[in-house]
Amino acid sequence: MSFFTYSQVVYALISIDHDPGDAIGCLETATGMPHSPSAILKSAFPGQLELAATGTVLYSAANASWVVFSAASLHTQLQLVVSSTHGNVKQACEDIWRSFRSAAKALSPKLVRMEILDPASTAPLAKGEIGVSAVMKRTDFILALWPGVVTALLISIGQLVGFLRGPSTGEVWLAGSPAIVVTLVAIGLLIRENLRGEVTWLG
Amino acid sequence: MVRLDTERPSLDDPVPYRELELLQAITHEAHEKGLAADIQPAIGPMRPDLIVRRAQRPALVIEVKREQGTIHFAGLSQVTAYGKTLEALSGGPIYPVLISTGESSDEIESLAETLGVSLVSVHGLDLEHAAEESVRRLAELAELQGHERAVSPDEGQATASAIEVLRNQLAHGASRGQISTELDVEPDELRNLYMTLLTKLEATEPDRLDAIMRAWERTD
Repeated sequence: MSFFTYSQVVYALISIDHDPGDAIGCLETATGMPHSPSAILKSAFPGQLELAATGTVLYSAANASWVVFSAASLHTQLQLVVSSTHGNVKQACEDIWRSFRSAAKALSPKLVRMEILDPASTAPLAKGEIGVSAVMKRTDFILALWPGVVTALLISIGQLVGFLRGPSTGEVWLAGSPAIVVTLVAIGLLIRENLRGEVTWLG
Repeated sequence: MVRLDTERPSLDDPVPYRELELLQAITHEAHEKGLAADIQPAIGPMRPDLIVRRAQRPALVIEVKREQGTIHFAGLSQVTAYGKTLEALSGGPIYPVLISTGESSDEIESLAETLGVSLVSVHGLDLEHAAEESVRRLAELAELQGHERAVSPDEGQATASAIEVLRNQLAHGASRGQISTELDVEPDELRNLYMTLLTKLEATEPDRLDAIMRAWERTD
């Protein structure tokens, strides 16, 4: 008795720690949709029918792109299952996290788990993380960061020990400036993403 | 690019092993203890992590989850669905079990009880002890007696009538207790009827789903 084939299901699990308060109310505000009991049936997640039958669904809602539901009300943690109806589950997770973070500002929400899974795998297909440590794991960020750092370091050491005698100091720094500018831009983006609580995907 | 399927947990990781390693350790330990455990069998549309079979006893369908922090309700829901599907395929009772490295909480335990899932938390244990503890609990659960019953050919008709009664009673605001009494069924059976009703409505009258589901939620 199921609406789906398990092997075709991809879904995301989200856990958000928060201060005590009405997290479900904030979720309603975030999605702009009230609880719709039948929305959960549009999710391809294994067990939605059983949850609906036991009356344990606290919130479910669906729009044209995704279905989200929650069935466990922990005192200081909101747990969600998100599945996409049009293929982009990462985008769905980011949208929901971004709007919940904004709606639940008073509850100081903190993303502790965002994983995309399929039921047959023993490891997540992708993990969403926030913060500096997550961005530091990105190859593109590391590639942008190190050239500038190494260039600045080499020029500084060269000036200190005195082996950069030929060209003027300004010329040396000018020659190294492209790498340094790229690094500064990367650091700027890192700060911006961190302030906005943007999700970095690993995997 | 980080490869999550082969990524080794770091030394300071609260769960210093991968999910597959735990699953393999549990299977190995189960075989040592004489339990017939099949790892990731393909059954119909699904592939549960583990199935433990015993002659004349209910089988166990098991999901193993490597989680940090609190156990997510999704694992409970997933293994419940596997149990129901396996029951439908095999005709016999199946006990769903969730083994998780996450921390349990009162709310999660209450949900597990409601869904009829046995929850085994191996939080804070190393790989060897987690496998041992899991198999110890599985052996206990495998000893439980089932409540298998024969399904007569007339039951299909009886179920169809019961579903109609359930639908009418919900429409008239009857409580689940009243409906159970009216139909002379246990709460578990009533839930199964309700799920059948939802499946039927989704196929035939999807616009009625919300009203019926709201009525069901109100009668809790």
